[in-house]
Amino acid sequence: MTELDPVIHAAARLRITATLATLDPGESIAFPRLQELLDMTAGNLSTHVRKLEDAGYVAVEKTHRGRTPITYLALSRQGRRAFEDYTEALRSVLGERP
Amino acid sequence: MTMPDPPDLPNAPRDEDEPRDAAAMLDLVRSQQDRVTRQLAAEVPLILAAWGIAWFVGFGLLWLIDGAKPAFAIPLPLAVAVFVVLMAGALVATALLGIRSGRGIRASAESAFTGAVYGWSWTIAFVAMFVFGTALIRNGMPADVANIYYPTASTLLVGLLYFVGGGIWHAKPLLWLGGWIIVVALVAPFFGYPAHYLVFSLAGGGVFLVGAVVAWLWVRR
Repeated sequence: MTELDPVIHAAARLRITATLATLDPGESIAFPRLQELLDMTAGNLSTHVRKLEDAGYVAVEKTHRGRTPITYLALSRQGRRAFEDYTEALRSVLGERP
Repeated sequence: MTMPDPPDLPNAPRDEDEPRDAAAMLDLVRSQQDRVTRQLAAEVPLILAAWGIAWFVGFGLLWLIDGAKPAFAIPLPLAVAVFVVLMAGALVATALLGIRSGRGIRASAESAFTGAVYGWSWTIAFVAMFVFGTALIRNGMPADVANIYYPTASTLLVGLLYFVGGGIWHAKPLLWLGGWIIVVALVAPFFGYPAHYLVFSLAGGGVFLVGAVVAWLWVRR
C-alpha cells in the first residue's frame, strides 16, 4: 500500500465511512439517522455520499415506508474493504502493529 | 514509507475535505466510531434505571409484607400490585426505548433472525417457568416454597438470558451483569422468606442501578 485511497482520505467522507463501518455487514441506516450520528447538514452529507456512491463504496437504496420515501445507506463490500485497507495503511504509516 | 501528496479533490468543500496527517485521520476514525457506539447506546442507562427501580422498589415492597414486622408492614395485595406494575412498566419502557434506539437502522436478515430468536427465548423461558411452577403447586408445593421458587427461577432466567446475550452481541458488560444476577439467584433462596426478597432488591436492583450510572457516565463521556 503506497497511496492512501483519495475517496476516503478526506475528513467528511472518512467520518461517513467509519460510521457506516460500525454497522454489521447487511445492516443499513436511514439517511436522517446517519445525519444525526454525524451531525452534518443534509446537503453536505448528500454531496459526500454521492462521491462514495460513485466510487462504489456506498450502496444507496431508495424505498418507501407507507407513503414516506426513505433512503437507506450501507457500505458495499468494496467500501468495507477499502475502509479496512485505508485504516491498515494509516496504521502501517504510523508504525502501529495491526 | 512517506505520506502521499494530498489527493486532488475537485468540487469539494475544502475546509472539511482537506486531508490531515495519518495520525489525525486515524484519530478521526477512532473518535467517530467511539462517538457512534455511544450514541447508539444512548438509551441503555434509561433501560437499566427502569429495571433498577422495578427490582429495588418492587422486591423491597415484597420484603416489607413480612420483613420489617412488627414495626412496619405493607398489605400483601398492595405490594404485589405495585411489583407487577413496576415490572410491566420496565418491560414497556425497554420495548419503547429499544425501538427508539434502533430507529432508522435496518437489520440484516441474520441479525433480525438472531434478535427474534433471542426475544422468543425470553417469552418461552418465562412461560415455561410459570407452567413449571403451576405443576409444582399441583404436586403439593406449599405457598412458602412457591414464594422462594418464583423470584429465584425468574432471576436465574434473567441472568442466564443476559449472559447469553453478552455472548451473542460480544457485550462484556452484559456478561458481567448476567453473571452477577445468576449469583444473586443462587444465593438469595438460602436467606429464606422474606429475607430473600431483600437480597433481590438490594443485590439485584442495586446492580441495575449501578449499571445505569456507569452506562450514563460512559454514554455522556
